[in-house]
Formats: sequence, C-alpha cells, structure tokens
Amino acid sequence: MSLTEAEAPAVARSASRRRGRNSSPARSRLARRRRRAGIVLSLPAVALVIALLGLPVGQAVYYSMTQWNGLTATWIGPSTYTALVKDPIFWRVVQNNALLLLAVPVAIGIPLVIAALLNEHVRGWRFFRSVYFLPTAISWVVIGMFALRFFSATGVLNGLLAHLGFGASATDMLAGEHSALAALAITFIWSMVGTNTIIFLTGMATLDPTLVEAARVDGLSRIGIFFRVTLPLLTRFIQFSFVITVISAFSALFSLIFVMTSGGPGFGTTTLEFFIYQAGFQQVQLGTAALYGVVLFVIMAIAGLIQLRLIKPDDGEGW
Amino acid sequence: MTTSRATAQLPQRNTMRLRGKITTAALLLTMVIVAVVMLYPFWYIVDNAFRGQGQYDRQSGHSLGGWRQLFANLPVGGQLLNSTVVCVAAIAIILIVSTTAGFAFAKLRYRGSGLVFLLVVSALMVPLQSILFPEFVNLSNVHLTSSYAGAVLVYAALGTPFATFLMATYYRGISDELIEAAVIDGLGYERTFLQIAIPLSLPAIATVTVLQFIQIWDDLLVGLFFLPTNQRTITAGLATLSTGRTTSVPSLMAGSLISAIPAIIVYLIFQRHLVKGLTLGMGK
Amino acid sequence: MARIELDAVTKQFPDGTTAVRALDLAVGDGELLVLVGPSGCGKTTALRMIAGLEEVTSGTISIDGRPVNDLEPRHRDIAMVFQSYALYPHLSVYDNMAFSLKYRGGVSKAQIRQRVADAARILELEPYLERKPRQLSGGQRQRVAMGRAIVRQPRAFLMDEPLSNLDAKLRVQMRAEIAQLQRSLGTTTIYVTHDQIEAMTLGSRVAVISGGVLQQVASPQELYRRPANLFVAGFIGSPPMNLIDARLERAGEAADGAPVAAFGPHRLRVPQEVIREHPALEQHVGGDIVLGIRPEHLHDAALIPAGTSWPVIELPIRLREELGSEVHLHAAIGSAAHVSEDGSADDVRSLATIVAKADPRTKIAEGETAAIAVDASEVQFFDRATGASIRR
Repeated sequence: MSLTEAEAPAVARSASRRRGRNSSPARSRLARRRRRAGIVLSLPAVALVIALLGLPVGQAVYYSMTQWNGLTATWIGPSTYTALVKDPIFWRVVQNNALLLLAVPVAIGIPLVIAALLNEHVRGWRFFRSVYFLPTAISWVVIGMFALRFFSATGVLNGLLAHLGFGASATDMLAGEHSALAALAITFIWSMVGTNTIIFLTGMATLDPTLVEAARVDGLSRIGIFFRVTLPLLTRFIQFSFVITVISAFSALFSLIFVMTSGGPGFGTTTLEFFIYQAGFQQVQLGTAALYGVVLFVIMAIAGLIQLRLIKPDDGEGW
Repeated sequence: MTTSRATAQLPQRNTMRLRGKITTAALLLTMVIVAVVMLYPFWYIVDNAFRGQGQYDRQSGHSLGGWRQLFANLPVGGQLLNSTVVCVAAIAIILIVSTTAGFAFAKLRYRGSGLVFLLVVSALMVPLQSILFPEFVNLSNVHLTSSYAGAVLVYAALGTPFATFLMATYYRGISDELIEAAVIDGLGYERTFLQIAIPLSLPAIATVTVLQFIQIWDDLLVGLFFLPTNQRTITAGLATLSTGRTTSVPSLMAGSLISAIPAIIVYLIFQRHLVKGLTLGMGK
Repeated sequence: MARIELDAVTKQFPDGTTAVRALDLAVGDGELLVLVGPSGCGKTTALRMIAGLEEVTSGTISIDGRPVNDLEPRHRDIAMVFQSYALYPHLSVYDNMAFSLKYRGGVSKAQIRQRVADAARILELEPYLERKPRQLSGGQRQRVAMGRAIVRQPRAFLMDEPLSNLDAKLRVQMRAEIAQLQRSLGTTTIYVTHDQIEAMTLGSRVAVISGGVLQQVASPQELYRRPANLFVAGFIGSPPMNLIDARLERAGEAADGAPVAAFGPHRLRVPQEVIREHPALEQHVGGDIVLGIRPEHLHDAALIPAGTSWPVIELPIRLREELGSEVHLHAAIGSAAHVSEDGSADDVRSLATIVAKADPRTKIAEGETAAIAVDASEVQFFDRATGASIRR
C-alpha cells in the first residue's frame, strides 16, 4: 500500500469520492468502529423492546384466533374476528369508548381557557400552575378512591347539592349505566386538566409576542385576539393534546374503572381495556382477551401514527 | 402646565385603572376557584384519613382510627418497600438502556438505525392491556413472576421507548464536534459515551427518572399481574384493599395518602423536569 | 394625519430602570420624525408608549391634542410596523393585510379588497397575495408588514427599526421606498432606528436619544453642523467626529491675542471669525474643553486650494486606509485619548489617534509626519465638564 507523495492524494480523493464525503481511508476504519459501537449500544434497548413488547404483540395476534386458557390453545382461525363483529356486547363496549370520546373536547377546551388565564401572568401564577399540575402525580387508584366517594349516593356531590339547596336532585351517579360513565368521564377530564394546561401554556410561551402586540394595535379585542391569533397559532399543540387525551382515554383508565365501578353497573363503564381484563381474568378466556387486545392495539397504533406524523409535520403548518 | 393637564385627565385615568384592577381580580378569583377544584380531593383524603369509621359517617372528629385499620389490613411498610425496589430496579434498567440507545441513535448512525429508532419509539403505542396475557404466560414460563424480576422487566420495557426518544432528542442537541474531539483524543466511542455524553445529559436523565418514577409508582396493572401477592406494590395493595371486603373508608383514605405522598414529594421537588419531559415529546 | 406630542414622558420599569426620562417631543402633521440612538437608549420604549403597548409612568402623550395615556392601542388609530414584521404565519399575504380591516369592522368587503389591492400595487406585492409569509424573502415580508399598516389608513405610522433585519443593499433600497411612500401618503410617521445614516437620510427632523434622555432634535443638517453636545457630535457622521481633549489658552506671542487650543505638542489657533460666532468661548479661556473636528474637515495641506489660510499642524501618520473614493489617515496627536461619558471604546488606548478623510490623490504615506490643514470654521467646541456645545 505504498504510494508516492504525488499519487497518494489523487487516489485518496477518487476513493473518497466513491465513498462519499468525509471518508478517506483512515476515516473508514473510524466509521466502522462507530457503526459497531452504535449497534452494540442500541442493542439492549432493541432487545428489551422486541422481547417484552414486540413478541407478545405477535403472540396476541396468534392467540386472538384461538381458544386459550393459558395452558392450551385451540386454533379457531380468523373467524374469531368476524364473530366479534357480530357480538352485541362488544359493540356495547365500543359504544362506551365512543361516548368517552365526547369528553375529549371538554378535556381540551377547559385547559385552553385555564392556560390563557395563567398566561396573563398575574402575580402568583406559577403557584397556580404547580397546583393545577399536581393531580398528574397522583395514581389513578387514589383518584378513583376519591371519585367513588364523590359520586356515590351518600357522597360529596350530593352533599354539595344539598348545601346549595338542590337537595332534591341528589343522585347516585354510580348506579345508572350512563350516569356512571358520565362520572367516569368527569373524573377523566379533571385529571387531564393538569397535563393539557401545561401543554397549552408551553405553546403560548413559544408564541411570538409581537404577533399579539400587532393584533392589539390592529384593533382586536382581547377575546378577538384569543380566537383569531392565539388559537390558530396553537393548532399543533391542540393536535398533540388531542392525541394524548384520546390515548389516555383508551388505555389509562383501567385503574380508575377497577376502583370506581368494576366496569358496572352492567356494562355501563366497561371500556375496551377493562373488557380485556374481564375476559382474561374473570372468564379466563385468554384467546378472547387477546382478540380484544389486538383491536385495542390497532386503535392505539392509528392514534400513535397520527402523533408521529405531527412531530414531523410534512406540510409545514405554522412556521 | 403639566399639572393642569394632569388634573384635567384624572377621571379618565382612574376609570382605566379600575377596569384593569377588576380584570385582575376576576382572573385571580377564577384561578382560585380552579385551584380549589383541583385540590379538594386531596383535602378530602387527608381530612378523612384521620378519622375512625364512626367519625367518617358523622363527618366530624379526628383520630388515628383509619391508620390503625390500614396497618391492620395491609402490610404497608412491606408494600412501600416493594414499590421502592421495583421503581429503583426498573428505572436503573431504563436509564442504562435508554441512554446507550439514545446516544447510539443520535450520534452513532449506522445503516438502518433510523428505522430501528422508529421501531423502538413506536413501541410507545403498545398498550399493556393488549399484550397482558401473552406477556404473563411468557414470563411465568421462565419463572420470573414469582419475584420482582417479571414486573421490573415489564416496567422497563414499557418505559424504554419514550425514555429512548427523550435521550436521543437530548443527545442530538450536543454538537458533533464535541464527540469528534474526544475521538481524536483517543477515546473509543464507548468511552466517549461514558465520560462525555452521560455527564452532559444529567438534566435529561433527571427528567426520565422523575417521569418514570411517578408512572411506575402509581401503576396498578403491572403490579397486580406480575408480582406475587407477598411482593405487591403499595398501589396494587391499596386497590385490592378497596375492592375487598374492607368497609373502613378512613383506612382506604389513609392508604391513598400514604401511597400518594412519595410521588407528590418527587413532583414538588422536580416539577420543572416533569414539565420539560412532557414538552420535549412535542418536538420543536 | 395627526399631531403627536410627548410632554415630559417618563417610563420606569418595575425593576427600577428608567428607560425614558422626561421626553418632550412634538411631531407635526404629516412629518417623518426619526428617533435615533444606540441600543437600549429608550427609543423603542418611547415608540411603544406612543402605540399604547407600554404604560406611561408619568407625563402625557397626546394625539391631535387629546391625551391618550389610558387609551388602548386599538383605539388610538395608529398602525405599527414591527422589527420582526409580526406577520401571522397561518394567513396568506392577502389575509395578513386584510386582517385588521376584517375584525375592526367599519369597512365593507369591497372596500377591503380595494384597499388591499391598492397597497399591493404600490408595494409590488400583487404576485404574492396568496402566499404564506414563510414562502417570502425578507424584503417581501417587510413590504407585507408595511402593506398591513397602509391599508389601515391610520392617523400615524409607528415604525420600529423596520429595516434592521435586511441585508445592507436591500436596506438602502427600502429606505428610499419608505421615504417616497411616506411623502406620497402624507401620513405622520415616527421612525425608530439605531442606524444614524438611516436617520439622516429619512427624517425631516431627527431626535437623538441616549440613556433615555433626548439629546437634540433638529434637522439632519443642524445635527451635523451644530451638534448640541458631545454625544450627538460623536454619534452623527461616519467616520465619527474626532474628539480631542484640549486646553483653551491665551497665546502670548500671537498678534491678535487670539485663544489657542492646546493638545499634546500642538497649538491650534482659533481664527477671529470663529470667535465671533462663538462668543462664549472667551469665558472658557484657561479651561478644559473638547475639540470636535470631523474627518472631512482635516485635509492634506499640500492639496488645499491656494490662498486658504487654514491652520496647519504636523502629525505622524500611523495608518493609511484606501477606500477607493477616499483615503483615511490615522494620525497620532500625542496626547491622552478623550474618554467619553459612557466609557466606551475610545479609552482602551491611552494615546489618541484622529482620522482625516483625505483627498484620494494625497501622497501622504504611513510613517511620515504630514502637514494636516484644519478647516477651523467647522471646528466644534465642547465644555469638557458638561459635554455641552459652547455656542453663545
């Protein structure tokens, strides 16, 4: 490999041109070491994820087409899916999920207003921000503990109504199917306030203040500015918050339901994720549980894909 | 000349000030109301945790009755310890795995690494419920469900995607030249990671730790499923207590309080990191 | 079209800093007044107070005789062009310009279309009406910002360094366009900039501000020829005026007993005409003054027209800079450097140099001691203690 002083640079140049920028002969050894280090360092994460997340997904797909009790699995085939579509209880459960979706706009709208209030930076706003975000540190179990006592017949809500003089309309919200779902939804909204408020507050902090100033000089009222300038500029954040809220509604409420209603009364508060638990744990029909699990996964995957597209916007919305 | 003009406009100045003051007062009032709504459940829990059953029914008086019943019905100390062990172990794994992988994806690009990165991060959307039963069967087949190990691994796997995403984003912000300088000085890439990347990423590590701590400590499903009864976390213990045959509400309130306090303390101290972790997920 | 008056306007921020101190300013109907000064001098704060974006701590701001201190920005009928243009990124150029008209009310849809079309034509934005701001170049965005202000047909324009973010060439071009636009529209305009060249070329009057205090407000020529104090003298003009610490002495042997400015080894005789124009100089004899001589008033003595009796001093030339159209000669004057009141860069070196803008034909070279002629009629005198110009 010995070249004269004149030849060496020429050879190196043509070699690197073939290999692309930044890859002289010495560098390619480095590049190889870098590649190897990269593979070695990323291996643990990949292995962990594949073994404990990827593998079970594949298995779930397999078992979704079987009858399985944990020990033996009897193959049935894709007809499990067609049978599912005809199952009225399944649709009842899906309906619950759909109804929960109605809570999402509320879970976004209220934090928007709160974030706007905080954004005015009245003295002490940071304290309020801490307070509003505090519920995110609390387990759903604990929240459920309180919610149970709040909505029950002898609960806080009725006590409050009595105090205000509306004693007549005291209800046991957890006794009725739809009212129980409503109670669930209200609790869900309460706990999402913190997260979404922070998202929107962060968004508002990134807004160019001169845009608001320009609108003030141009003649818009404070409310006009909120709707015509602030909100349109927050679109990406609202989308992000929407996806997070929907994902939470579909996959984070298990503990809440477990403690509050156990899915009842009847199927009133049985959402898809609780349905999985019921099928597997209570009825030991693990194949069915896997079936519901796959459906839930598909829904989550769609929501997740939307979120990934938002993180890398391809239409350049905004800036 | 100035004084006469000043007095001439005084009434107008006052009305504008007043309007400003009213808006501020209205704002503060609204914020206080929202704060009350947010904090009331805590108050309720604290208030009723220090009652006996009778006192709870009457909603008056305070005692340690709830606490006595809680400790009678639940191995509180042991479960707190279990929660701690599981949290620490899982977070340790998550940190090791996500810092290495995050660094690799951010700085040590290899063919297909972009795709692999996407794969790892997209595992975010796998809900535990979907893989619950296959996972359990797998882990019990390798005898990992009779100890902490199974739960720890599941927590670690669940937390890795987001943690890796966070670390990778953070590492991308470190200039390439810093790495190259270390390489020129003779460090291998692995040593560069240990001695340069890690010290520089302490804020991100703190964020991941805080986020994961709260998530794992507060989690129910994994704790319920993958831990043997005698090694339950406090959250799982509390949940089973509430759906069990106990009728002592104060004891449940006390249990709620004690399980919530560690997470609240961590939150209060590391608030900023929590917020940063959440907003980092939104990208730039 | 409006008169804008500031009467002893002061702005103090909550942390104690006083950004603007007792500012008195009157802008006539249809006038273009420039507020100029270094960064942080308070000029933008003053503009924002006029816009209503900052509260006035004390003093009165009036538009057309009516005090507006407590009036919200949107009721003041003024339009503002921001340094960063503040274009709404989610709206097209057309929508950006039509924005305020739509939501302010009082203008019909047809009128909006007409006004936007007119402004677009004047600013040559017609091909870009459907584009979003991020698809435009810096210069185009700047014009959209202007267009947004124009369609409002306001009583006054407020412009906050609108050209700072453009490259030098574009700045020169846009400067001329803004000047022409303002003249044709006849709208009262207050223009803020830190660039003294912009100020001199644009304004019918220029207000120089430093440290929140108005230094001088006058026409560009007046500022150039008769600066009121050391700050204005050193700020206006490029290269800046040479400021030399000197002592005003009575020369014993001079025939007419004229005073002499002494600095270093040099004695600069002050001609009689100059003393006649600056009678107050007499009182400063024996005291410390600052001489101000613009580089363009220092000449190669070999090249001045025959018969001119300008005083000449011998100066060692340290540096010769060739600029093509002119030559800059840096000469040592052999005395301590003048320290300006804000302690800025001059006082780094202990020995002063002055700059002479010489005729490009000059043969003076580095290292030689050259004869420099001083156009004494243009020399400025300042009281060293107060910084004020010594006039009458």
